[in-house]
Amino acid sequence: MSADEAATIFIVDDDAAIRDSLQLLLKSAGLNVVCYESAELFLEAYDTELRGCLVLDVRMPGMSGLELQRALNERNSQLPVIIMTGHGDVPMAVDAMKAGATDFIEKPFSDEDLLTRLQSSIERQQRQLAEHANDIELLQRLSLLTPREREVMDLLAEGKLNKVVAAELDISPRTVEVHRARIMEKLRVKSLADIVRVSLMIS
Amino acid sequence: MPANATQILLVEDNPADARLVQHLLSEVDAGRFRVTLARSLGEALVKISHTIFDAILVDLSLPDSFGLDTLRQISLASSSVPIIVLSAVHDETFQLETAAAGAEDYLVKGHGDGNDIARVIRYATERKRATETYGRRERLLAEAERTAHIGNWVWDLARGECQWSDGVYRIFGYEPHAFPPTYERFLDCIFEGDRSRVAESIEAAQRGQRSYALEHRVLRPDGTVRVVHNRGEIEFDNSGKPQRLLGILKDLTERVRAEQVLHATEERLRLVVDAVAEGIFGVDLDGICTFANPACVRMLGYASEAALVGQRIHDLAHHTRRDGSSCPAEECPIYATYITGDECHVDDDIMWRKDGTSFDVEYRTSPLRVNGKLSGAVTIFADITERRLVQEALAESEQRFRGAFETAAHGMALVSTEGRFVKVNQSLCNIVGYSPDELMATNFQTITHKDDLERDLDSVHKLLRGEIDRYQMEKRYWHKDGHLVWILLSVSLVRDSDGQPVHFVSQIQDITARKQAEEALRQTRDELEQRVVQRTTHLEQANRWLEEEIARRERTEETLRRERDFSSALLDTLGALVVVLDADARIVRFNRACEQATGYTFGEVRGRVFSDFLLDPSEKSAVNATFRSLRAGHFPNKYDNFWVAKNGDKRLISWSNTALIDELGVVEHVIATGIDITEKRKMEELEHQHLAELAHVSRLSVMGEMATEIAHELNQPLSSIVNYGNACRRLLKSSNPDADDVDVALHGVIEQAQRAAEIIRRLRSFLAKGDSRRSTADINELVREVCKLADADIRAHRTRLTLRLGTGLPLVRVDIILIEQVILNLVRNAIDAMAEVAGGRRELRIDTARAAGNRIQVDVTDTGPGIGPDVVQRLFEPFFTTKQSGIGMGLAICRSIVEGHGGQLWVTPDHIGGASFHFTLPVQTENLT
Repeated sequence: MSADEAATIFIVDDDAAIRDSLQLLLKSAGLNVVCYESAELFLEAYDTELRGCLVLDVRMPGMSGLELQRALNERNSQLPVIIMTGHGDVPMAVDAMKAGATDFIEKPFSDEDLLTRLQSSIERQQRQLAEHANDIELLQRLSLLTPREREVMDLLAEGKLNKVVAAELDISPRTVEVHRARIMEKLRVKSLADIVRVSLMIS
Repeated sequence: MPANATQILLVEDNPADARLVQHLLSEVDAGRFRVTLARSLGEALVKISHTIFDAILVDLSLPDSFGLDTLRQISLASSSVPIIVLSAVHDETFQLETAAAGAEDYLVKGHGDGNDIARVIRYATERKRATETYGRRERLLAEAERTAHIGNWVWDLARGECQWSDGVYRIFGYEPHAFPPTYERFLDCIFEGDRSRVAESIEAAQRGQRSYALEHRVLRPDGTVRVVHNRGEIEFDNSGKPQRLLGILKDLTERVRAEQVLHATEERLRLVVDAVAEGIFGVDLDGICTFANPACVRMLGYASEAALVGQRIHDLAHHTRRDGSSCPAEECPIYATYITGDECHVDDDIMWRKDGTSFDVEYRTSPLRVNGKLSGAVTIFADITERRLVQEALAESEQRFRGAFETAAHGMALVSTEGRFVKVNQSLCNIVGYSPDELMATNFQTITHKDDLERDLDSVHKLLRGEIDRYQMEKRYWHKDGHLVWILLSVSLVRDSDGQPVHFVSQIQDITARKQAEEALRQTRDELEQRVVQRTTHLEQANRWLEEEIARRERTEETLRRERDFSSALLDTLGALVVVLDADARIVRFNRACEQATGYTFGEVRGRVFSDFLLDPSEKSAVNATFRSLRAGHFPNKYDNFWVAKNGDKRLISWSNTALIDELGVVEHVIATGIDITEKRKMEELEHQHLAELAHVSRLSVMGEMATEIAHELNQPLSSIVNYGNACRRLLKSSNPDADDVDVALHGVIEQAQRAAEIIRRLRSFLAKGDSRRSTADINELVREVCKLADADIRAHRTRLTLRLGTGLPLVRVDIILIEQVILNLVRNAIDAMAEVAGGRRELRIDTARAAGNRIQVDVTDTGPGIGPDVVQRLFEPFFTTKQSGIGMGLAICRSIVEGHGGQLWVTPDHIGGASFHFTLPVQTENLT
């Protein structure tokens, strides 16, 4: 297991023994762990830069796991959430999944089981983050486009040929070609397909 | 028309026939017949009523009448007028009928001329007249006979027929023509005794005597007898053969009767006259004696009436007066009578006998009249010599009486029947203080004391009525001075010769002095009696008291006896055990219930110290202590202890004890009344057991419902153990294992395992049936224990739990498991209630505190929706539940448990939004069980 220094496992459970035992377990697996004994406390500490995974007990007094999930969704949290269910918590698990939980695990669980899910969740997040970063970058580049370039891009994204675009915009096809080259340059894409993809992304 | 024309009424409706008759009659001596025509019966009757006709010619068939009826009607209307029938037919039978119906004659129309008709009319008229005359004569004769009581009869000897007049029938006592008259019947009517005499007389007349006359009797059918004079004459024919007998009967009975009466009266008179004691004689106008009765003859001393009749009485017997002077007839009053015709009455005269002696007489003379003329006088005289003597004797007697009356020592009075003092003597006057005149002006009623009057009058009336012949009474008179005088009155009644009361004779004796003496004596006697009575009364009283005292004593004894019997009976019938101990704890009384409970008889236990054999060794000292306390005067007290029966059985008795103290305050006896509660105790224990089992079942079911939570709760430590364990393995596998970490991990394993064990232990403890034992406990501990039990549940429902447990709370004596069950039930209910509240707060609060009445109170409050009023009522009902799943036994059992501990469980709904359940438990106090 590759230790990603930026990835931290956040454990939210009201049961002290569960927190302690999990912390010890994950540390022994070489992971960073931070424990919170209530959802409210975690929420206070949350920011969008957090990288890692949230391990959340589904049954808690006070703010429930589900409520925490919703709160995080409002903040557009990308943090993966793994919920821990007890015996017979299936309905709760379903609700949690619908609310965007990445995975769930039933107590008592094996350490292998937990670590595997953690890994995949983290990787997914990284991927997503990368994607997200890409997307961010893309949007920045998009803002570099002139209005005219923007128009051309939109039309091209619809699949229209250069000359059609030229006709619609009442410019020469030549000009369209020029715009197209500049778009690809600014957006740093290599093909028309990429233009389409970007267009789709921003819509 | 001549004045004496014959008036004819022609009743004929056929005009032709009428004209014919009229014509025929007018031919005969014109004017002789005056014919009036009537064409109907009605017209005829009218005409008849106006005019008297000499004859009526009538055709019987008229428009308004027919045949014989016509004839009869006309005959009725004009009975004396001859009627001639005109007929068209000649029918002899009919002729006869018309004659019988009253027609004089019968004419056939068309036969005969006027002369014939006239002749018929004339003859009819003549005949009618003759008949009428005959009839009149007959009637007159009959009338004469009736008046004179005469009857005549004719015996036709040749034919043997008789004819009797009405008079004969009447004399014989029959109605006229009651039967056909015959000679034989004639004889039958004659009285039997005279019949032969009469028959002979009549036969003699027939033989030649020509006539007979005799008187005889007749026997009437009604049984009366009449006397008749029977006279008759025989008519002979030329050959001397008797033809007829003409007889006359005359009823003489009245006359005969009158003669008989006269004779009888004369006879009676004669008897009277002869029988009287007084002398009676009659004289004619010359003073000559016409008759003298035997008494007169005897009194005058003559031999017979003949000696006196024809003589002058006056000269014989009435010639001299008493004083000796002679009395001429002219001066004799008797003489005066038959001269003047006036009655005279002399009551004091003298008559002379034949032998010259005289006697005193009283006489009365009445005139005799014949046909109104004086014919003489009748004198009745009586010898009054004896009477005179009696009168003289009476006068003498009166004289003597008067003397006695006047000189009597006592008061005497003659009193009228009305009460007036008629005659009084001086003694009486002295007694009452009035003068004779004053007294005789008043009556005895006035001077009698009113209280004595009634008695007096009563006796007077009895005397008058003849019921008594004398009476005597003590009474009071008012003295003239105004004071009372006591008198002894004796009264008798004098009656006249007729028995009529004349006057009272009263004797009055002054008894005042005697009375006073009597009064004094009476007073003395009364006083004496009084004293005797008093003495007697006292003695009686004393006697009565004595008797009462004795009776009271006896009653008291009886009461005591009964009380004793009653109390014995009572003791024996009581279901309760009663044992009486003396000061040394020896058994004095041991009732039947005690005997039954222990199997010992009274005889066996009497006098023994009870604690030696009746008590269970473990309780002996405690019971003895109680006994000593009782004996020291601390009572009443109660306790329960066991008695050991003869067979070793132990009975649990609940005692209530008291003591009897004597007048010095020392305890004489201890009385213990007990109830055998062995059975009751057993029952109680059974119930408790039952409840415990029920509670157990409930706990099991509760636990069943909590299964998920329990499972979850166990899951936590188990999950931790797995984590710790895995951590351990990893750490050990790493290149540089941190021993501390391993230690921590292992420690964690152990700890969590213990935690799990603890959960299970708690569970098991809760689920255990447990002995229903009460033990002292701190309520707060129980609450905390329950919270641990329900921890998982509370957390699972994200309920915030707050405990506000009072400090320094006294301990309670409870069945811990059961009370924990109650608290857990309430907690779970609260959690469930709040689970329904979706987004609201879920807060559960448990309070413990002291409560009034030496109690602990526990409150379990939630923030659920509260309890509606319709639910509150039913909340504690068994099987009532608002939950989907759940059998609803919880609250019912909880209440049962709490109440079984002597506490109460209730709910206050809507406790600021939510519900609050409360229960109390009594604080542990000292118990003498």
